[in-house]
Amino acid sequence: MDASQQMSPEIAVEVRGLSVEFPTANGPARAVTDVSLSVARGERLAIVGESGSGKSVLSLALMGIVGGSGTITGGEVWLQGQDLLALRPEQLRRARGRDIAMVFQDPGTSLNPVISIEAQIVAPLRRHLGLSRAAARERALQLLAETGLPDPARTLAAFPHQLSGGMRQRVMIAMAVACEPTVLLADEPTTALDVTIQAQIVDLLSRLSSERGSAVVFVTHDMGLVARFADRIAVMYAGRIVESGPVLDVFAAPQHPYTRGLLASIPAVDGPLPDRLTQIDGSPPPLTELPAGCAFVDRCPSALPQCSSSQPALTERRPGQVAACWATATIDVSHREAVSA
Amino acid sequence: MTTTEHDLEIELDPKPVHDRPLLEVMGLTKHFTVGRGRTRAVVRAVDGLDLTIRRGDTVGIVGESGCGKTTTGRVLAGLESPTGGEIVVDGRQRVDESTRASRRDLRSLRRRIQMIFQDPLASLDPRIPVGESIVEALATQRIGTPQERRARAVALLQRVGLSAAMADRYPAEFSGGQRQRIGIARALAVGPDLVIADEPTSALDVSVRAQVVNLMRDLRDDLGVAFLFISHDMATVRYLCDEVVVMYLGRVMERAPREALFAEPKHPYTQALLAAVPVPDPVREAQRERVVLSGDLPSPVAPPPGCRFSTRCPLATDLCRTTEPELTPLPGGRAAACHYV
Ligand SMILES: Nc1ncnc2c1ncn2[C@@H]1O[C@H](COP(=O)(O)OP(=O)(O)OP(=O)(O)O)[C@@H](O)[C@H]1O
Ligand SMILES: Nc1ncnc2c1ncn2[C@@H]1O[C@H](COP(=O)(O)OP(=O)(O)OP(=O)(O)O)[C@@H](O)[C@H]1O
Ligand SMILES: [Mg+2]
Ligand SMILES: [Mg+2]
Repeated sequence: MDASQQMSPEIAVEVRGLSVEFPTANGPARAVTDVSLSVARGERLAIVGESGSGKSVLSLALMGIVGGSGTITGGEVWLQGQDLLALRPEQLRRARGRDIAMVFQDPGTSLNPVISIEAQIVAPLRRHLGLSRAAARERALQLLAETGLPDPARTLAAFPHQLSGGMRQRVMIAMAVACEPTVLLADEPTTALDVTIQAQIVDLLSRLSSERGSAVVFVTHDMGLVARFADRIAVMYAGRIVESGPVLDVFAAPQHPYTRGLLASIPAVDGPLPDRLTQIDGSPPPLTELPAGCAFVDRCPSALPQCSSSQPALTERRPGQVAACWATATIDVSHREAVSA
Repeated sequence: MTTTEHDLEIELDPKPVHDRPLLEVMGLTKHFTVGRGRTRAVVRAVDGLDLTIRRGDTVGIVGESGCGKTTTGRVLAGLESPTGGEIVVDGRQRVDESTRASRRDLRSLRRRIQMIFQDPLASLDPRIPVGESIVEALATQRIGTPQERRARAVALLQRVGLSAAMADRYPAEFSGGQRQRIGIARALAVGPDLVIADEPTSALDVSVRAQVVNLMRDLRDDLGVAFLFISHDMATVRYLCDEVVVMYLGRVMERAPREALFAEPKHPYTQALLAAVPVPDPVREAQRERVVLSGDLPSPVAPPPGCRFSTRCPLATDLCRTTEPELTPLPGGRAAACHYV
């Protein structure tokens, strides 16, 4: 349309106003509420947040998948200009693996325990890339080697239970990057990996995004990994994005009290040892009983009266950085210099 | 958190009068045979491991994915039998359960050494309320009367920061961090001397992780339970452990008191491992020099001759490639297996 739109980077995947619910005995559990985000080609977005805050549900929804009895109660998912939620099942199946691929959170349960790794990895390679069996096997061996697996041939012949946790995780990663998808979703892809292998996986994903222009969305609890790899970070709490922005800005000047608590809880590998690790006391409200106001209010050190009655919207704090918090909305412009310096 | 350890009679046996270590492991091996016929191979998952744990100590095991950490934990917990070596508990040789199937001995071992896993759901029955799970663990060990079991289950749940009312809820109704605390409560119920924790915090977000780590520290201080903490999270290991053991390809490369290991790693593998830890600071991450280990990745099916790390060690010489170094004691209560330290 206009010049500004032409200049904006090509959007790989975009979510608008997405909400997902699961029915429970106590009423609907609102796992994801009104989430919007977009990821450009070649961009790396990290999603962090409390356990149970909806990170996995959101990333599955980006694939058009809703687990169990859940339903998408609102919103849209656009993958390279196609409305993913409107695709027919066979179109969706074709898109998965080729346009959008996912490393699932739990490699223990997402690999089939009674089928050899070879059968699980070679089939999708043949289906999506039309390779012969021998060529697919060659490609599989090469991919496994790229993820730092010591003997790819043994890994191919093995069944999942014969591999260590980190070996299974790398098999999942190899399967997901196999077709060089436009969008790669990785749900805690490195939790089972030691730091040297993790560094190798980060290199692999970096190459995928910089050389192939893949958008990489990854969910992680590892703030070191976020610092090393991501361009942007989105922080979730009780089903909503409560803060997002460039990694440098959010680390330098977190605007949401939850983000601040999260960053303060990280133990360091160097420097003096604290007597106790900082923790955020308490736990989030049940998703069936979300309050009218901010869901963090009971645990928030800076809560104001209005926080319990009215939901704060995401407001821009600095170019590209938004946060949903009444208490910090009006203060704190002081960090800008610190960041740009 | 209100502490209730006074009404919690955790110690069931009288303390031993001798001061032998709680657990001594010498030359432990666990080999798996995989494939058959021409593809038959032996995976040397644990291949000559030495380890000592004193009462009330917290020992960390770190090391590359696939180096045998989980296998070590499973063998020590009696979930798998070793293929060689000695395990001495409280100065008493552990009977091999496959040859002398002394049920009582095995039951007592299972009580004294408990294991918790990364995914607490895997060890909690989804159809049973969590309080009932703890009661069952006590019943299996024939501890207490039914009323006592129930009271103890509730006291334990309170001890790990949950409420009595939560005893009647099912595992699915808890968050990841809460489930992990339930797993810890259940492991502690039977009054173990040692809890082997295999990546217990890697699925948790940093603030919940801090809650669980703080809890483990309190329990160690209050109850004198020893922990063997298997983790890839070097910062948490540094915070929690008294001593750290670094494994590579089925063996111990280095063992040292926490401070010494992090301040002055001696073994080249430990140095590489610490250098690869990402720091949770995007500014420092961007400036950091990355040390990437290169060279051939060795396989536990055919460990390299000489030092196991020699194929990737930047300092390796001909001696390293031909002669395997012993784990040699060094001043300061530490030991390393390297010809050049
Ligand atoms: N299939 C399902 N059926 C019912 N509830 C579900 C289902 N999947 C997820 N939920 C619920 O949705 C909420 C969000 O879960 P989700 O797995 O997205 O959390 P998460 O942020 O990924 O947490 P973690 O860091 O522990 O992986 C949770 O309360 C969870 O219990
Ligand atoms: N049941 C089994 N059969 C065959 N091989 C096995 C079996 N269990 C483990 N192994 C092999 O033993 C080696 C060590 O595995 P283990 O799970 O102990 O590693 P780990 O150090 O815990 O790794 P991670 O950090 O990835 O969890 C691996 O090469 C694995 O493939
Ligand atoms: Mg998740
Ligand atoms: Mg393991």
